[in-house]
Amino acid sequence: MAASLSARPPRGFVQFLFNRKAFCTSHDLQQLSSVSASTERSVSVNDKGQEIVIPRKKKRDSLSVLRALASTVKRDPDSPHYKYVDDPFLIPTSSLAKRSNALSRESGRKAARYILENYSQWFNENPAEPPVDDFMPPKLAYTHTEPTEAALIERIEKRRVNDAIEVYKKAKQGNVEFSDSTCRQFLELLCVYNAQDPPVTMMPEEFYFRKDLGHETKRPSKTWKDDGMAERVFDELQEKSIEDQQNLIRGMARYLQTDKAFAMYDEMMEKKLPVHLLTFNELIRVATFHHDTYETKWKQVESLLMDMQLCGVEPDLTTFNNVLFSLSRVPYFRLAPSLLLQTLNEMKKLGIEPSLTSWKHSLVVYYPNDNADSNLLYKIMDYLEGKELTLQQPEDAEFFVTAMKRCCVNHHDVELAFRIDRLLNTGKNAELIGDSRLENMYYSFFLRLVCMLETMDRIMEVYQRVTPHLWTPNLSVLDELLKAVELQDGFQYLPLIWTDLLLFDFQRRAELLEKLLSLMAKQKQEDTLQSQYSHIAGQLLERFKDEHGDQRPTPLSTGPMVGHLITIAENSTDHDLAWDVFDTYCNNKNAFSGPPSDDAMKSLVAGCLERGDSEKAMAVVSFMESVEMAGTGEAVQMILDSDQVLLSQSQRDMLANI
Amino acid sequence: MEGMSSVRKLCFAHFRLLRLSFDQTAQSRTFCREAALYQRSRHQRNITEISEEEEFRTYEIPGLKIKDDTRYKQRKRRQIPPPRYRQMPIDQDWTNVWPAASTFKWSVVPFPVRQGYVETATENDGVIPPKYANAELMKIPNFLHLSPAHVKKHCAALKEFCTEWPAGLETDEACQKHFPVEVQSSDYVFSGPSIRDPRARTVTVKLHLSDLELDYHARDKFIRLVGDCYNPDSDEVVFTSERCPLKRQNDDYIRYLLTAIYFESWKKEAWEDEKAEEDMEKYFWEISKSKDTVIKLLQTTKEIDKASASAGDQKLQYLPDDTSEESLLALKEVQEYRDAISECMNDGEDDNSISKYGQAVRKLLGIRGGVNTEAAS
Repeated sequence: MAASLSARPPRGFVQFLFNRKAFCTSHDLQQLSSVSASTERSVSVNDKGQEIVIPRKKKRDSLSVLRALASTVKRDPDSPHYKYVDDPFLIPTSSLAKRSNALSRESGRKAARYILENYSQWFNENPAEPPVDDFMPPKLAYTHTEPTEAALIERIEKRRVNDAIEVYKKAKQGNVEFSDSTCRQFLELLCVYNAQDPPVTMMPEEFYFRKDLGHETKRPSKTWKDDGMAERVFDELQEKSIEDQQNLIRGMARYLQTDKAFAMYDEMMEKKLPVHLLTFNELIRVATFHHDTYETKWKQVESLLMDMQLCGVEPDLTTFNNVLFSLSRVPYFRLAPSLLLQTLNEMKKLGIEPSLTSWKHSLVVYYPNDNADSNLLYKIMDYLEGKELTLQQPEDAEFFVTAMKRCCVNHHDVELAFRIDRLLNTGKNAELIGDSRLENMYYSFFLRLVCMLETMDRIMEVYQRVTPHLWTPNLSVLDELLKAVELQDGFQYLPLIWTDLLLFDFQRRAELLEKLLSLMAKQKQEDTLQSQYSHIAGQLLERFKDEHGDQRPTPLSTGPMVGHLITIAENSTDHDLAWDVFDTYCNNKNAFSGPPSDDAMKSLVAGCLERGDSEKAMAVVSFMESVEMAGTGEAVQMILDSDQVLLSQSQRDMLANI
Repeated sequence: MEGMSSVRKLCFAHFRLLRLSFDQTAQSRTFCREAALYQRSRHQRNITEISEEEEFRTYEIPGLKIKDDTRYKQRKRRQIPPPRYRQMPIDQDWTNVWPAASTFKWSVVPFPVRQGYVETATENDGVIPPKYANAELMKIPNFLHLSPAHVKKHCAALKEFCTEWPAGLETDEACQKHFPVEVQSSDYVFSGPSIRDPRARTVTVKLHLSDLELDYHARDKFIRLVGDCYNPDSDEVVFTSERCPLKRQNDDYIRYLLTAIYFESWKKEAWEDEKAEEDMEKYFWEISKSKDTVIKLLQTTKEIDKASASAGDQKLQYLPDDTSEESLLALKEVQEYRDAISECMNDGEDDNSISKYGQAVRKLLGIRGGVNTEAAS
């Protein structure tokens, strides 16, 4: 029986097969098998004796592929922000609509959160796998209710300062003793939060619009609670360690109780105790709040830096930024610019990369007022150009607006403005523009400068890119834009500006509308443009008729506007419209402030005469006479000179009376 | 009822007007014609006022008549910007406009597209509805986020995670040769509360049986052990496991299974020797009656040949002097006969195998002319 030859199987053959690293279609398994085969990389020899080397898998974390894909996406300036629904009927365009839309969504989230917190018993079901704790109702109740050490620790861990203080007080009354480490933690909590509950964290949109909502950051002032809970706990400590003292100093410094903070610090220095970097940082930041004159303020900073050197503490970015902050608080100090350069040099020597905050403080020092002249901004831009920046400190957000302001106010350099804007649009730098107020200021300065100094086409290019989705213009920018139109005869853009006026909800701004209409009425344009103008005039009139008598004022509200409408209509040889405007005006005189201009009335008279309508011309003239217009005489002469109308005797008498 | 119909008419008129106004807007961001809206609403109101004056007063049942609040709505109406696709520059980067998967948005897609069904020629004038407010287009998935430009960008971004293809593995054959085992598993990504998918645990291992070192018995036993997992046409063994809850466990399990089956198939139990001819999975000539008969026949023939004197009278000249079983089996003629009859028995009879068998028999028995007659017939 040849088939049933009995032979020993080659030992380890299957293992050999697998160790030759299975070919995997899924990367997951490749990962698995590469664990076992991580030590051997070359696995096989092919026919030509060539070794086949399977390269190692490149290292990546769970998000790196997503990040790489996200890096391919850039902001499309023509699309609304993704928080809005992308449909013409739903995209907010005016700044008020944008804000209320975003905040409504946020308040919806807040309402949901409120329900989740207050009716948590109905939200037991959690289908998420793996479970997401943030989607579940927060655990507000405490496990320890008696005033014990465990209860205090629990409240410290949950950062409930007021509750912790209450437990501490009760425990002291009940003669419960705490261990030293718990007391230290408690002291730290009190110092960090100044013995009160931390402020409620704002939702992202709320934070973005906080200044519009009136949550203004207040001017820094002393808020430290003197002889408050923190100091009491500190006094009650059996053994005051260096850490405790420093915690207290940091707390006092942060809440601007500078006198006590520096007194304690001096005490520590006398005893030659080691001081931590964080303490130095806090003290340097508040040094300028401590003394009176520039000299003494700076002396304080300097002495702190010397002490750091003595203690052998290495400074970090925050230290330098705090030094620069102190300098930016004394911009008129005569030594400030040179000291600033020294500080920057020092940073360079230590290999510390300045952050945007450093540059912002530098700008404040070098441009203390609107007339200051310096080339520091150019140098900063040379340095930063093309870099992708990251947010390191809250004040970083103020850099772009400061730079643009200085560029606009001090330099009037539009190329520099474009450079700053290019930097803003590099990579993900646009995230550093800050909150709504800062963004508003940035674009306001930018567009005003562009409107003042650029050609009409370039202005409109920038304007159309920035508005309406990146930013909604404010009145001053539109005013500047209209000035540019007037200066450079950009009349073809007026219909577009009119549409934007409607979209941005500025049509009730009389001065702006008047300016726009006066530009439209300035001269006769080519036919298509002129017909668009007359269309706009018709729109305004219709709108007035529609809304007249309502509560809100209508856009068409002054006599000069009426005059401009008449001129526009006459320029487009739409006499009926012109007469309609005049008629409406005469019937609702109380709704308009001021009379229309002389020239407009004269052109209306001319229009009437062209049609051979003497009665209308007479009506216009008698109106002119009634409001005592200077050009009445000329208008009368026009009628008398005209050979297109035949005047009756009574009309001639009337004209003679005028 | 009248009030209702007039409301409906008004709404309809609105939509028509809006669409018109979009169509009228020219290239780039332009000024939109809204005046028609105002005019329209005024006109409408005048008509209703007149008709109210002329007709008898009707008795109004509170709550039954629909309130005509069009005027209020009219005033509250905000200005609608023209759709975005009118403002798009023609050289824009589409990947920024449509960066990720999303529902169809009529105002963003710059090309004309129609979708839907019209039942009769009167419905929508017999034309398939365009993209504006078209729910059909929103229901179907679109691939506007996966245009060639997108894929190109994504590939460029993902390149940093790729390694070079190893040298020496250019062809599929080379891969198959150096990496005979293929392991397959899938991951599933979708949006939902749970990120787990039970299908992800399935692991499949494929290998060719010829890549395993097996003799006939082991191979036979292996195939019997794996049963349906073996495909005789492609000579492939496919193991699939989803019995364990985790992918890793299934992978381990299949490795264990393959190892166990491999060594098991090399084992030979004592009772396997008791396998008789009728137990065999196919015809083996070596243990068949035919072999005994042939050997006996040849030995007898040789004896007869030896008895006859002259060489010319010998029946079979190729037979050696040594007529032991081994030497006879080694003969070419015998082996040919063995192969021919095995083929007939194992693969079935057909013209080819029968003629082969005939030739082998003729050769074995020394019948001459058979080839010629065969060829002639």
